[in-house]
Amino acid sequence: MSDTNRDALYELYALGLLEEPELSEIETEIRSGSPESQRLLRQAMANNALLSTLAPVAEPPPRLRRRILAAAGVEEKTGWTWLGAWGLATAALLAGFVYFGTETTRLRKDTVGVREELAVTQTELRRSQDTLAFLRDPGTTILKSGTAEERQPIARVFVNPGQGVLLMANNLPRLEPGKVFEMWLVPKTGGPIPAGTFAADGSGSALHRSTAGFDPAATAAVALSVEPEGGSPAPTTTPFLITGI
Amino acid sequence: MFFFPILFAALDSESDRALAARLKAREPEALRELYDKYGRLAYSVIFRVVRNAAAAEDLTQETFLRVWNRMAGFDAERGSIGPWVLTVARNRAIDYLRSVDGRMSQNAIELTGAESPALFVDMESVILNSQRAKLLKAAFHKLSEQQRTVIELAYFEGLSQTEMADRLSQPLGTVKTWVRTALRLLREELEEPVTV
Repeated sequence: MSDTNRDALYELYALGLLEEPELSEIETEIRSGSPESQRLLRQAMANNALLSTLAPVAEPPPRLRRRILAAAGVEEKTGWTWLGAWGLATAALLAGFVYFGTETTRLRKDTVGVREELAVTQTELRRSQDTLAFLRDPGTTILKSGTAEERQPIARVFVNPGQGVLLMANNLPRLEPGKVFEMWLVPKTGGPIPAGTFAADGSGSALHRSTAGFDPAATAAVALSVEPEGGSPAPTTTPFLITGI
Repeated sequence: MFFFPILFAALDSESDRALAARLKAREPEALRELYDKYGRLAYSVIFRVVRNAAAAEDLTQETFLRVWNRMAGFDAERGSIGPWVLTVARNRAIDYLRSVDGRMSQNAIELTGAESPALFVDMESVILNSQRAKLLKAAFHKLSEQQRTVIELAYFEGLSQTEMADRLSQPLGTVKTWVRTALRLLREELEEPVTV
């Protein structure tokens, strides 16, 4: 492998683009901890970070700064005089020094964890709101496939020309290790188009959304098949659920 | 698509090292400075990825809390805080996008692992400054349209090469060639001597 190729492989790795068999090769080199692999990885990470400067400028709202500082337990500066600040600090020290030393440390750690969890929860809430907005959109249509018989796979497919396809499935079969479900958009002409892979929960239920462009006039059906982990470019097993558009 | 380079404040490694040391010491003022220095850039990257202001705010908050809470593992002497913040920001945004799309690439490396603070040490001292940003922008505009597209799809949408081939209706081999050529050309331009 030439040096240029090695640079490229580490850059592809840093971007999350490297595929087998080179992925395993580079991961083995990185795990070995050799100075050269560490140097190449750091250089790739540095170039990766530099790509962020290609983003168009977007101004964050001023409230975001306050929000982040408050979430981290860091208050914004105020216009207090030094005397006021000194008095408050002294009072706080006197009141808290004996009683709350150890307890405060413990609580601070707990609070940091809770704040981080809150940030993650807010992100999850945003995702749920996105899904709800999709379902509420007047352009979204519901389609069904499968039978209502107990334990038979059943799917509800919501399609929206502007926002893609949302699949809600139940009674999905339990999969062997290394297998996933893959959704397909079946055009009226041509082969099925991959629309993402997903797994079901323990009860066989799954929620999966594809935001790829969706043209109802050119699409005949939405189908589900079982595929190897990572998905397939074309179905390798017979689709077991087909929802006509 | 037309890009504007982010105008950096002076991002010299000396002041970043001092800032990192103060962040490790949990100085509240240091977090304010970190946000003032990298908040707009982090938000810009996230907004470019998710294209949703409310989600971008949530993810920017998550980014800075993650950095603030993981400073204990950061080497203030040898580390580069800016690239770390931007990597965390990009990874949070791509994770969000993949989650919303229900899209998890088998070949995508685990993003959380790719933002370990240990990866951001001993980087060259001029990684992020306005001159290198200009150099990158110029190099980026020298690329062909297809090469620019695949770099954008990889960096700002987190697509694998297979997913790019699907999106662009091109053979996988063609996409791989575009990606590798683009990376090589960018690398060659960035390896040009830089005067700071």
